[in-house]
Amino acid sequence: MKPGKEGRRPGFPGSGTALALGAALGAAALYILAAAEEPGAAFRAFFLSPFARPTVLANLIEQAAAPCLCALGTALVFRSGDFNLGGEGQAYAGGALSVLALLAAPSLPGPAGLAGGLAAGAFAGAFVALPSALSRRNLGADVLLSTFLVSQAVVLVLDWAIAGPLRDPASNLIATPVVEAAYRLPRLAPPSWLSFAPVLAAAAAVALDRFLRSSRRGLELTLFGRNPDFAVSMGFRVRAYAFWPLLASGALNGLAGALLALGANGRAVRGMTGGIGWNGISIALLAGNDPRLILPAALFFSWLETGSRQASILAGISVDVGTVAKALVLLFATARFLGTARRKGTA
Amino acid sequence: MNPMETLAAEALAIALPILLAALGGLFTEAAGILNVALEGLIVAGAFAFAVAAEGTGSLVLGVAAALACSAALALLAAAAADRLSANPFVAALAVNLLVAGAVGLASEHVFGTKGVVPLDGLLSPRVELGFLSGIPFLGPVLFRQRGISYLLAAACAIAAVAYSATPFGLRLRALGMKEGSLRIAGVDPRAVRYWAYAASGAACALAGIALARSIGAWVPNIASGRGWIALVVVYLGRKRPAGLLAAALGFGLLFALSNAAQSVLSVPPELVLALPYAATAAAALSGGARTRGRTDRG
Repeated sequence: MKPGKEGRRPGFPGSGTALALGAALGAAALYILAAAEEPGAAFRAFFLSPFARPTVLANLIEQAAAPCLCALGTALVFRSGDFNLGGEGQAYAGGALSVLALLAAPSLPGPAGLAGGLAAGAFAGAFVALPSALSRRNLGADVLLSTFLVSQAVVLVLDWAIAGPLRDPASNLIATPVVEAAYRLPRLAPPSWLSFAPVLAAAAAVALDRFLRSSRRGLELTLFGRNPDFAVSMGFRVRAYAFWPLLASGALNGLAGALLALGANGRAVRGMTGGIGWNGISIALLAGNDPRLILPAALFFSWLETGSRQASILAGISVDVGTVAKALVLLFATARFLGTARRKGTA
Repeated sequence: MNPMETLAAEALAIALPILLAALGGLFTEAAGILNVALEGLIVAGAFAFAVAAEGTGSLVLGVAAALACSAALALLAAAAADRLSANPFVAALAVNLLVAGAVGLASEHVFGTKGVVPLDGLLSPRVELGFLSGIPFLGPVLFRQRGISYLLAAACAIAAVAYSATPFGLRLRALGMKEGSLRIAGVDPRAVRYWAYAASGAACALAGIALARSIGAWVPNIASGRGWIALVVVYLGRKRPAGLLAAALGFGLLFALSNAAQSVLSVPPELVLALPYAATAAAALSGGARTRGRTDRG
């Protein structure tokens, strides 16, 4: 069950992206016009206030890092010809295990502990993706469904664990205890939460881009994703390409979850991933699965989220307007319009 | 009713909305399109029904609104794919997200809350079907259900017959197998594809209505993953209506057992809810749903 290839399509290149952005911003603007008591103030709150104060802007950039990593994982699996719908559970597991590992090892030096926590997060994400990767490679099982279902089960089990045996009884939050301050992401520009996470995300994007565009394995992976039969006939390591991208994607999602947990929260909070897996998919699609465009797309999504939150606080606009805007991005992200003929076989 | 009868009756009641949504998924699947929007279409149908039926006091208008809303959303995904060459899978994912956001916005405006809304008088009553309800075991299980369950069973039967034994179903399957054969027969494949989406939306709308009427309330995220499970049912059932029935009943039994475990053994609800997903995942991981060709590969 492969979800589609983004090869050369009829229509103007980039027209889908333009339509997606236009639809998202247009919908937000229309809703604000219709629902806001003071549309001018709501417009300013939604569209401009994220840039009005350095702290808010810094938080916007920080907030883009984790979804960016998820999107890179999505793009990698997409190159191998499939979709990883389990980002949510993989990120949640990453966040939870990073915290648990650091709670269990309280005497490490700060940087080593932080690195270990992030590694534990990446491991947890990969571990959640492992059954799907194995069954894809060995049985040809459907990745799209299996990643989603495993993720859903993991999310529910973690919801229970964080509310139950792992919960910090001294906290009003449904959350684990807080990790040592030395293990948390260092804040580069207090009072904002800006950390090195955006740099890490950018580095991951560059690395993935180099791998996909400049390495033989990257080219083989892309060819395998586009035409598995051709890859087999060329003697490529198809079993490896059916396995490792999904595992790496899980690791990236887990790392994203660890960044969330060890950042502002400093602990695993129930439901902390809040749709990050779906956002990662939307961002990857908006960027056309091009690692070079994924960080800008993540920043755009972060702007939408920050804007809707600011508009909710400052102008009483529902935060759901951000969700609708993101849905429209997703709806039109892969579209091509104003072109000539449509593809056959798609409706 | 004894515990076994209660368990079986609950399993059937849980299975029917999943089965109908799965039949809706089968319509598009047969046409070669993976419609992952089933979850959103169920929620949209339930919400539209709640708004219209609560607002007008008319069940008929509620049902009409639900059918129109879910079918329109399904057609939106179809049009995005057909007119704008968007990826059908992605467009369907977008419908799920769109429904999540739009329902939240609309619920605040219509009901003044994003939470649970009781629907006065819309709880479907239990209906005993005369002497049939007295048949040992089968009577309590099959013929003492809520009224909406009988309607759902009828809708499932109609959908199954439409798929298996009508020109509509034949065209769907022909579209999925060899689009060119439809053209040779003088049938417009695009029209068939749109009809498949619309029928899928309508089936999910009815499933959503059933969920709302079985509890007499609108509940956010009322589908609770049933749309995704319906999608799995399509594969586990090998894309045959009888297979879908068996798979849906299996899931119904699993959910019913989970509920029983929760009440009898005091198992935490999160773990109970995780069980069906874990079982479905095990089925999918063991190759119950295999990668295969479809038109949304592009």
